[in-house]
Amino acid sequence: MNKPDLIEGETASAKSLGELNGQAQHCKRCDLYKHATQTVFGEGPEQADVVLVGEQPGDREDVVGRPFVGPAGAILNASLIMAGIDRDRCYITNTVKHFKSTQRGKRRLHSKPNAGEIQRCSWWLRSELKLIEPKIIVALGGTAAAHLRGKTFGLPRTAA
Amino acid sequence: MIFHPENLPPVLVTIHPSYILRIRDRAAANAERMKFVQDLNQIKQVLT
Repeated sequence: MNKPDLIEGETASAKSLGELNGQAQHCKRCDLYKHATQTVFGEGPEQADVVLVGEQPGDREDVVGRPFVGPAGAILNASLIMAGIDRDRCYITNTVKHFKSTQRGKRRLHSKPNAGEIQRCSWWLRSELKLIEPKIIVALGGTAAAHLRGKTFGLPRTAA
Repeated sequence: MIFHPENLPPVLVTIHPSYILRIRDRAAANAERMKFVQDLNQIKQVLT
């Protein structure tokens, strides 16, 4: 792991989510961009009170370029509706912004991002959270939960 | 479960929805889905 990427609170200089997204499209902070179709950045309003954080884009998300549009996204959508929460008012993103996969015949199977990839990519998640300043973050699954609760993650005090 | 990490808003921890997709038993999958909805319900506590 590269030390400078672990500096607590280090974030991008982008002034808006659109600008941040534009920067992330060219991200080469780790090697995952080499085999992914595109960066799948977060989606939703900058004024969102709720930020949902998954693990990483899946096969469908990689092709479409949007988070949670595959089978897991369908479950998330239905569950949000049942809980009375409007998905359009949430910001939805992932811990890691590129699809990581292993090829099995014609299928691309999901492969877990490693600690180094997660740390390098957290720069984007921190930057998203700094711009949005949500009231609550929802960690969907162990990867997001472990990362958000970890000591190396966190926003600079001025942004809190 | 809601955690309060330093320098972050509260973090509500729940499952990843793909977990439900991997459960073969239909009743078990439905039960997990209900638990997931209950977790998401907690979001509203923070918003009010």
